[in-house]
Amino acid sequence: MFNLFSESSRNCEGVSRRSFLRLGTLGVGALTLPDLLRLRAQDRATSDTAVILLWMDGGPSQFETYDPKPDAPAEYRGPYQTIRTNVPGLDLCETLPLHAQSADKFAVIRSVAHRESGHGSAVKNLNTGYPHPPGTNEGTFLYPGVGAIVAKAREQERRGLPHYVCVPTAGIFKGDVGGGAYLGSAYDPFAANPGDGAGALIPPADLSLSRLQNRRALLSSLDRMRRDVDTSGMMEGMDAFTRQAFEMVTGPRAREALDLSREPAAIRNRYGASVERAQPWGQSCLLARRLVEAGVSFVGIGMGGWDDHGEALVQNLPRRARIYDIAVTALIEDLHARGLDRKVLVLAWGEFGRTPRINRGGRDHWPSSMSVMLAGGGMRMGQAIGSTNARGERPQDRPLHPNDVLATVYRHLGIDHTRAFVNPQGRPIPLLPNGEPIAELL
Amino acid sequence: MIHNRLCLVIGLVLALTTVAGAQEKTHLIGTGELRSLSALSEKVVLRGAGQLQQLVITGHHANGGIRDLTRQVKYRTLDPQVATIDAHGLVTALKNGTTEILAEVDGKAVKIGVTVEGADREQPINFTNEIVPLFSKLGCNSGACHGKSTGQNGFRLSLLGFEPRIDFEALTREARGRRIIPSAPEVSLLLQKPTGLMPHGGGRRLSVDSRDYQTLLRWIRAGAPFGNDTDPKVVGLTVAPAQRLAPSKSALQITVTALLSDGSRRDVTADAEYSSNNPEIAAVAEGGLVETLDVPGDGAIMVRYLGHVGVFRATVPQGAPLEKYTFPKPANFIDGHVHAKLKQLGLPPSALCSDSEFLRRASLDITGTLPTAKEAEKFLADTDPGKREKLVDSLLDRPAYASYFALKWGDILRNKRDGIVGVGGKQERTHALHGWIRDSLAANKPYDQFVREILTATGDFSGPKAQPPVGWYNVLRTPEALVDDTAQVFLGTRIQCAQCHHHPYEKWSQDDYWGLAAFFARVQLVNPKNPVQAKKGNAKANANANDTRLVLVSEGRVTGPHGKSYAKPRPLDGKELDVPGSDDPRQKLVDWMVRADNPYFARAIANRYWAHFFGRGIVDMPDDMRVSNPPSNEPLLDALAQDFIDHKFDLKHLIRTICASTTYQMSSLPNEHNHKDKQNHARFYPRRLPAEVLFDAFDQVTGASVKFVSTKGAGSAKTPATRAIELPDEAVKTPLLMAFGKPDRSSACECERSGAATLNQSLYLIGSTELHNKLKDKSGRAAQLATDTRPVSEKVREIYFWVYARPPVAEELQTVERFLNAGGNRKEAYEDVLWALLNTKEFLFNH
Repeated sequence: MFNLFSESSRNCEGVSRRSFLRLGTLGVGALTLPDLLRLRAQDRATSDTAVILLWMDGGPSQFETYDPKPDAPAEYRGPYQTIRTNVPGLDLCETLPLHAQSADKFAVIRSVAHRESGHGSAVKNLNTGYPHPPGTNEGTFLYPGVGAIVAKAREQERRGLPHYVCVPTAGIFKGDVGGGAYLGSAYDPFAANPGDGAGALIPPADLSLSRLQNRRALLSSLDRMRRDVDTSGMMEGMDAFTRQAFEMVTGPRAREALDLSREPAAIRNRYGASVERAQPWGQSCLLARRLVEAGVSFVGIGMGGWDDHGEALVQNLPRRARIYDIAVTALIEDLHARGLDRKVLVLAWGEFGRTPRINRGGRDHWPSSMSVMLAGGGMRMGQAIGSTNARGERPQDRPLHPNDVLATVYRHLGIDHTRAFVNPQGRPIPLLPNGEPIAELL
Repeated sequence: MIHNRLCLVIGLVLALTTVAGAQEKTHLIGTGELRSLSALSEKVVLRGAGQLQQLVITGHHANGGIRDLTRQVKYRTLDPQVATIDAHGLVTALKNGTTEILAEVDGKAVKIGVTVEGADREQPINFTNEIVPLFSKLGCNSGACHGKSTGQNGFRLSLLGFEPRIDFEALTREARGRRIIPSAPEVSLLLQKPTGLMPHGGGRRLSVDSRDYQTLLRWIRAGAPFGNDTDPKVVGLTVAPAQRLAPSKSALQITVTALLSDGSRRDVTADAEYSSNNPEIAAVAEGGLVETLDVPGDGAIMVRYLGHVGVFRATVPQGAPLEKYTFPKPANFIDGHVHAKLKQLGLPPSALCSDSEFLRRASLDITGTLPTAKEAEKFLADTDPGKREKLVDSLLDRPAYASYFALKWGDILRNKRDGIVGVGGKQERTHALHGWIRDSLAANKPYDQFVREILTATGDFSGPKAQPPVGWYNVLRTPEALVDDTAQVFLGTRIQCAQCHHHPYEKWSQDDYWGLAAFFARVQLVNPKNPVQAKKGNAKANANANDTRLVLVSEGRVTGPHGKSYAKPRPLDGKELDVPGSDDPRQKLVDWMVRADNPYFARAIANRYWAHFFGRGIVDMPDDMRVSNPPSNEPLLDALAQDFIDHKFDLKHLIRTICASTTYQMSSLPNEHNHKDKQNHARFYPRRLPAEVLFDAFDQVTGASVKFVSTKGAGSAKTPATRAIELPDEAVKTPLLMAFGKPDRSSACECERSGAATLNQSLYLIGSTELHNKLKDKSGRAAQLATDTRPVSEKVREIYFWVYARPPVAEELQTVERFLNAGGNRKEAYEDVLWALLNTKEFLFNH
């Protein structure tokens, strides 16, 4: 027990053990000390791993991405052709030509199915592992997202950057892929856009470094209230967070990690800098890579727009798929080239698949079958796991649930998915209500 | 020689036992010479070999006070063949007979008579009474482990052991019988797994040489019986002693006795589960050993055994010499009760707070609003001795009072746009409920009437005939949701666990839960355009978007777990009611709630409002009132509730009473003896400003202003609020409101509003565009002051009044003046000063 303790405090930058003890009790529903110690014990071995989530908001069509059905009747097959890849048997839709050259570096799961056909409930179910009742359509996540759980599980490790960051260039923010919910706003994602929202890592452009430093000096001479008026430890906790925040904002580590101009033009172009306009997904992926290199545990990137009802399937999807194709393959190849493919797991999915039968030129919501792409994480790549039936309507081999995917993600992060956090009502909530890591990947 | 001394000791003991029986001064901690010893029970009877009995030995000292000496005395059994005793005072029965146990220390001794019966025959072992408690004690059946609904690795136990029959089946029938192997008991999975002899995901929970292991082994050897229906059942629990005064950093022993249905009693101290409600005051270990720490106050220990709950309270005094301190003259009964507790604990109160602090504190707590600079100047200059009381009256008359408390009530009544099923008209509904709450508070509607109008509301959610309080039913669309929120909001008790299983920390059963649910069985939501719907029905989730009218049908029932149906409503601890179809059962529910002798209703609101003004409930959490979570000052809570009833549920009166007390006017600055106090109000406990209050305070100080427009809807449906405390529902969010914990209203728990410190708050304060824009607003405070021609010192003084409601001290004035005079961009310098002051704890906290 005490060994563990000293291990954890060695990782603490700027927070004394005493304030750690107190910080643990600040929020309602905070972990008890034994909880923390247990978590640390379980997570220590693998705690340098990271996940990059590419959230394909809207629900991408499996037919037009990872599960084409060239032999299905035309009204199911859709308007696109199937292409071969560098992995025999892992054929893809022609919308993803660059994927075809890197298929040995990712895996596709084709047999995931669930029951949530609305965006609001599906986005919550897939990002938290828990179904949400109807009526929680918009903002409200009742359970924490995976990134928030990681932030909680690793909260004693201070790395000069937060554990959970969202790249909001495509409109993704708190709630979109899950905040802290009952764990508290402390576990919400941080935003990697200038002055953008809570937890912005980059201050507004007209707030210079020297002004920030002046303000900090002035604050320290004026903030003189006696700290012993507060025995909850909260004032000292705030002081510690303020120090940490100033180090992040004014120190080199976060600034450098967030500064894409430090990348050579060739790399930026490989990530699609020249083709991206409205959807800077490639640059978001590049930023994500820099962030996980700098120690961030979970990066969420919003890649929205896949809700291809009607004509959108023909008019919008090809352009979007091209940007996605460039961004994802650049990320996968780059992670390999830098030897990060064991440390970092990339997960790409959306709310659900799309209806097998074309309806008014497009496809509608279809949770009964969907495809998921995973890359890296030291897992077995270059394979398609499971299959759907001839018309892509439902899983045929190896039916899986989204929570099996999440259990695989937690395993990569070294977090026991069966452990529970206690919600403010005192009820222990397991990280996942069901699901097991997918053996074929391990 | 030895024999002689023994005789002598026994003689001494006999002489002293009568003394011990006399009045003991349990309100005093023993000091000085030890005069005598006494035992909690001087005669104990143990039934069956292996039965245990925990002893408690108390020392009586020269000053008349007491101390627990259970672990200090030396024990000796006169006949070790009959029973043995260990160093901790735990007696184990061996064979039939009688003996005596001698406990002695420092030349004093006490004798305990021990009788063992029934040790000559094998005691039948009962699964429910003896095996299930082990699963609870070892944590096997907790919600995080085998007790969760999906079990763990294929092995599922009922949550906390409330379904022994299911557990028995799981153990004896599943897993191809490998869990229990009577022919080779030791290789049963039930023994191999928890001892770590086979890999176990839950780790090693049990040692092979423990008594619990022996109990399990004995049960398997006996053929793993379930037991007979005629076996006595546990019907109650007593914890002794129930309360003790104990010095800091000391240990004391408690005992737990189960009362059985055959009238017998059994010591279960070794098998009960313990947990501390106030781990900073008192910790508890397995076996009922309580250890006090160095924080003064009441430490409650919750005891659980087979679904029964008991509580022990350790009172740890500070023991400071009070004669050096003056207690303020009590302003009302609150101070009397608080002072009595402080005197009992030897905890001297801090001085009274300054006028600046009081003005800021009362304004923030009553109206959610900082005083203006002018207001502060005027209040400080006012020489009227009654000015604090007058201030409270004036604050209660302001519209901001109703707005701020409507925000609070909007949270717990869950006035939530996102929770409304269907499309369109959502803002209309949340705004209507919000307006009704605000107007009710402004008119000071009696609280009982306020609650009755909510609970018994019928009519349309929206439209020309809208009945605003029906809005409470917007989000609460099932009898279960209604029971959960009714209990938590209006009765201060969390009953939701009992929906699916017996409440783990309370007496509530599923029948209690569903008896309450039956009050709502006849509530139906219908479509006003098609009102011909079922005249009776089984109340269930109603998610039809067109159902926007609440009606009461003439018959209805609710269905609980296992398909059991409940038609007759029953209040908590009450009898089933017959309610004719022409009456509204919900009226009967409110009738029961608002009775003067209802033990929950007035106490719940008094405690909730207390928590609003002090940051912590007399029972804390404020909506978690239960036997096993006792109040820190029971007479105070009783008196506050009674005063509220006596004043006809007058909410403004309740607030006036609280704010008039000197307890509320205490300074937050600690003295040398009360700095550790967290529950007795020896001083004021500072707390961070809530999200909306902080938002408005930023606006007020920076001189920026915001008009909230809704993120959804258009035209007249746009949110009209110009201040964050006026926001009617949860839908409008800004980065500040999110970072500082504005709740989503996804539960009725006040705990959803987080007051915690986080890293994103600090990042927000440093670099958010939102706050930056307020500071640099073209017509804001910084811009005005930069061009203002008054001397700098005057301007700094004004800033300090805006921020802290006080003038700057010389050193502060000097620091700020130096910063402002350092040259550079003048407006930016004022922005920087405002930023620094807004980031101080003195600003961010209500103190």
